[in-house]
Amino acid sequence: MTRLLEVRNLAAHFYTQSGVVKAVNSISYELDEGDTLGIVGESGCGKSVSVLCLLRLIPDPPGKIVDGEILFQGRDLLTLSDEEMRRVRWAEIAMIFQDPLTALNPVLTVGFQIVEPLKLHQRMNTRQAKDRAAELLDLVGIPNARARLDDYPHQFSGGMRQRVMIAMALSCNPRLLIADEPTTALDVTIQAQTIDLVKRLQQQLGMAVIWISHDLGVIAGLAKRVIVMYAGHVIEEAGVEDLYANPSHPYTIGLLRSMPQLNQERDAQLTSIPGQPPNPAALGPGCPFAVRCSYAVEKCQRENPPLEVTGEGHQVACWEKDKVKGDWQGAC
Amino acid sequence: MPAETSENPLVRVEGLKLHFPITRGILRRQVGAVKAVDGVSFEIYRGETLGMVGESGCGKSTTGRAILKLNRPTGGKVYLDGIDLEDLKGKKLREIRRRMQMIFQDPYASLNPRMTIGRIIGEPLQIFNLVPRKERKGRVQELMELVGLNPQFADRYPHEFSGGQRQRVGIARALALQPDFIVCDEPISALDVSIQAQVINLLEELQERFGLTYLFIAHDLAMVRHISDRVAVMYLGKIVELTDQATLYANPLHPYTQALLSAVPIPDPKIESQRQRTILKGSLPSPSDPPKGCNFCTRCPVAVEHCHEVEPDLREISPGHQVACHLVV
Repeated sequence: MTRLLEVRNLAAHFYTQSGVVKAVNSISYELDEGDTLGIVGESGCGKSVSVLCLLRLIPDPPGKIVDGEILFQGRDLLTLSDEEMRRVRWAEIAMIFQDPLTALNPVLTVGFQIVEPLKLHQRMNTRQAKDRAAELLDLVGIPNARARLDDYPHQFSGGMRQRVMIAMALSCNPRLLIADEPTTALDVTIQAQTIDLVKRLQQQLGMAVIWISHDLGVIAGLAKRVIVMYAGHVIEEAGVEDLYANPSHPYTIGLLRSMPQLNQERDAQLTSIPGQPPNPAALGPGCPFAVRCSYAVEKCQRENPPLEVTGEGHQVACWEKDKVKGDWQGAC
Repeated sequence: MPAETSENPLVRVEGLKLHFPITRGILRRQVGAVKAVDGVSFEIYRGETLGMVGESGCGKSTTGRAILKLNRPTGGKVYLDGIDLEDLKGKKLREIRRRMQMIFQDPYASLNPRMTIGRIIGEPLQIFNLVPRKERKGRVQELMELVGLNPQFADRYPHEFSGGQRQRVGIARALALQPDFIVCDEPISALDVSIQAQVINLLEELQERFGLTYLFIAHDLAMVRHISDRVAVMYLGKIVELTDQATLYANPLHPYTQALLSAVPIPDPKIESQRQRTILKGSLPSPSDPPKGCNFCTRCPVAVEHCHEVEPDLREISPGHQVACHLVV
């Protein structure tokens, strides 16, 4: 398979009054055509910022991409002019957001909002664009598509709005679809519908997907590779089955254990991760997870562990990774 | 804490209804009603946790609020310890309210930003005058310690705390009056995964220690299974299935419960890749215009003609297992 995207040592910082927030620190990953990458992490871990960088959409100021390369189909997006970048956005890389109600313009009809990029990027005339818009709404499973083009976003339910967003994102046949927690605001039955839809469309259209979520369950059913982020760092990366079978970072294990699972026996008590995520503006030199980690040794306070290969396609950033892995395998 | 079915329930709800009127015109003539809760009956025994699940808009939070009379029910009865709450007014109502408290969903909206958390937790004590003024501060600190907050932070304001800590403040406030019964209205859905488990463990610990009774409202089915003794599944203002948690998750009978369970993602790629999902079509109908017959018939994968005409009653299928579906025998 051909490589679609290669992110190398990407770093993004926000310069705020309370100090420099290092939102994304030297992260690297690759994505092949048609593949799915999952990014997992809690709020504030930098997962959304890391993908906004791909579209160069982080507000500047206060944000700035301070280092790295983003090679998309061989071109470094960070060196493109604004005009060239504009042609990449939506046409090549499209994005759907967590809250479709704030992502859609409330005073414009849904039809108008889908037609706009089609005219701009595909140079269609109004009639062609309208036909295509109706086709797209039909594709994402909105009944009575042509009539609903004249409706406003508030006339759709939450799940339907997310479908409209997906239709918009697909309008120019992007090679890469970025989904930033698109199902977090939805009910489980609607979430299942949406995931099903994206999977089906991905197969039909052959695009690659980056799916961001805090829910390890959603990622398990979707992604081929998974990145786990914590406080702006990638702390573990692996193939999806490998990650769930052999998690090797104490944070990943903590996340897996703190979720009750429907397929397992009911535990007497949940294993929680003590404490809370660190303030991203005041990170020390050590491992950002050290204060909450039961494996932490003195070295963890001093030095941030690098991401190191532990198995085929499996990378972990932890000084005590062998012990952690051994304990997990012992417990299984 | 399995409940003894023979003993009297702490909370008994009979045919509870809460309809919000839809009005039109300057005379505010009523033209319809949003039937948020439409005839709900259940019992909660002392020391147990009843989980209540359903999608947004199914009326689960409104049920919780109606029980506490935060919204006045349109119909039906609520008994706490055998006392009918309907006719209570003034002092008597206030006395009974001491015994039932609520933990709210959004820890950002449910704490007054202009009050220190010491005052927030102490306010119920002040209102009910349970503790002499001089001892109030000590009691607040005790409560803070109980929920895992540093008592030295009593003079800080809510914005200085994280979501998980704020939810602890909400829990301390609910506990201040030593209630018997607490309605937990989605207490963890605004929190991060790693923090959720902390709050759930705290709630369980407190339950064991003080013999609390919970109505735990949530949409996270895995979490509800973890914390509940019995679970009620709601759909469009009605309970469609009610049984103990083990039976519900092992042997769900109502097609809606089955679909809901099959939609929950499982964090295991091997299982996920082989799972057959029942994906429900469409979304929740409007509670102001529920379908004729069974409320679920518009989305039900197995509905027959009869379902579109006659509304099913909640029937007991086996001891302690109630289902509202014509097709379950």
